[in-house]
Amino acid sequence: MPFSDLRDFITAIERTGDLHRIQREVDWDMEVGAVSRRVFEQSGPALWFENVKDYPSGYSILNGPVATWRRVALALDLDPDSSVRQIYAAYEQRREKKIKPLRVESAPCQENVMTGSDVDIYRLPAPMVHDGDGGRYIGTWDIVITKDPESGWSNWGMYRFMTHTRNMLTGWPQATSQLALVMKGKYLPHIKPMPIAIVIGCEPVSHLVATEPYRPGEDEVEHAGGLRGCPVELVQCKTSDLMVPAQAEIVIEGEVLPDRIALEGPFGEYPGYRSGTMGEGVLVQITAITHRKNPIITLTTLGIPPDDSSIAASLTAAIAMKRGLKRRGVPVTEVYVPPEGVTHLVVVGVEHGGSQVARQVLDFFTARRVMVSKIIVVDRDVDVFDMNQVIHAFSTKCHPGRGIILEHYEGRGNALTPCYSADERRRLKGTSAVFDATWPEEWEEETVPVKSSFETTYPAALKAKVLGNWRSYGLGEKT
Amino acid sequence: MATIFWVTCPQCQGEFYCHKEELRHKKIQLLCPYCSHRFLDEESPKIVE
Repeated sequence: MPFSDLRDFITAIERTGDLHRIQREVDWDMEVGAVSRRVFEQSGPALWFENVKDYPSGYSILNGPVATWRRVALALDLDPDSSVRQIYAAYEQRREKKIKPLRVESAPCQENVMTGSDVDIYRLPAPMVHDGDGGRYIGTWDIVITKDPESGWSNWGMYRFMTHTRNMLTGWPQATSQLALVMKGKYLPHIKPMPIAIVIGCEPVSHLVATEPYRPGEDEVEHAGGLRGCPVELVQCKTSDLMVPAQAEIVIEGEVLPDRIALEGPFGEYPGYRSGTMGEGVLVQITAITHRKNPIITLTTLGIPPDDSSIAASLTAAIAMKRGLKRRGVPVTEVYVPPEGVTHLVVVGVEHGGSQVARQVLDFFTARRVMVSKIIVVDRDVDVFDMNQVIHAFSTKCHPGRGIILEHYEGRGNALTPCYSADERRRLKGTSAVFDATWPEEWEEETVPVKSSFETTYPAALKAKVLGNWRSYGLGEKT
Repeated sequence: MATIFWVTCPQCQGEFYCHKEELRHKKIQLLCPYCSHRFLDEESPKIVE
């Protein structure tokens, strides 16, 4: 059964031992962040801070709803001990289905409403997440909803938002993001403010969907419905025509101002580093804050993996990339985004390799907005989910001279690539490399080295005999 | 908080914003962050403010 809301999910992960409640008072000023970060680095449970300093009882923070594969599996209603391969397969299969959302007229997320001069973002316990952050971040594990005014397409994404004043937020959507492109293309030319809704604390699948790079025009809410197997209930915002998940904990309604900017950041970001220095960000004028009774802020204390971002994007980005590669005619078998590579490293498995296929893969990753800088392409004898096998293939099959193909670009690189210089980040200038760990297609079969492993070196009859006798060798159950 | 205007680089057509109080109608050359071309705001093919 899909989870109806965040509270339903919290109950489920508490039952399986994947949630820990902290009832003693904890300071929103970095203490919540420090505890959360340490627990992330131990792959520990989700943390529910129930008693936040300076805030009334009932105002709480949940860190790390899906920061482990167990919790991702639970979010998808799978066995928590499912393998990464099984989780990928279930997500990929369910992603094919779309279910239209259901409009409702009243909603839990609007049980409390602040508008006009009542608006005060500091009535919610937005944490100062890391030392060195530019301010208190209310939007970390959120769903940010905007709309194309011409087509009516409603876009869901995940972007960071920092408190600026009691009724203003600043944000830093990357210049190549869908939010920035709609803002720049459809609102700025007319000097029109862009309505925006920052949604916090939904059931977990909707947040997963917000992390996936869907193509422009695709309604994420229908995919969220498909993945859950039932429609997402939406309610209209109080101050705009945007539709938001009815069961959310908190909705911040506002407008991105077209002619104003304000200081934003830095923030400890998903690649595991602080994002440079304070810079200029978009400015959101808050028009309303609505929330449930006893609202729960969902938080991800980003940093070195694992955390919600590295785990969720490992799943959602990989499935999106696999679909994209297939559309381009690449003979892809599997794509794996290792969480340790924070979406800067991708492993692509192919039916048959060679330099042409490697080039095709690189072309796909660098055609438009480029988020990935390193791609390893492996033959189908390598299990992409097993990094031991991937490293073995990379180390032995990738020719250091002709097996590394580079593509340089400007204006569409990922400004959050830590190895880029300040100038490269400003110009969105970058380089992506494909490491071709496949055998060249032109090699004669007899010149291709034969892998020396149990699977590849022994006759089938002998392998069957060995496996059949496995227990009698005193080696326990065969795995 | 600062007010801004948007300019288009006459050389590479890249769009970027500038601080209005400091740079609009001030006869100060703007530096395109994409191609490093320098130009006055009046030379921009498109200004949004």
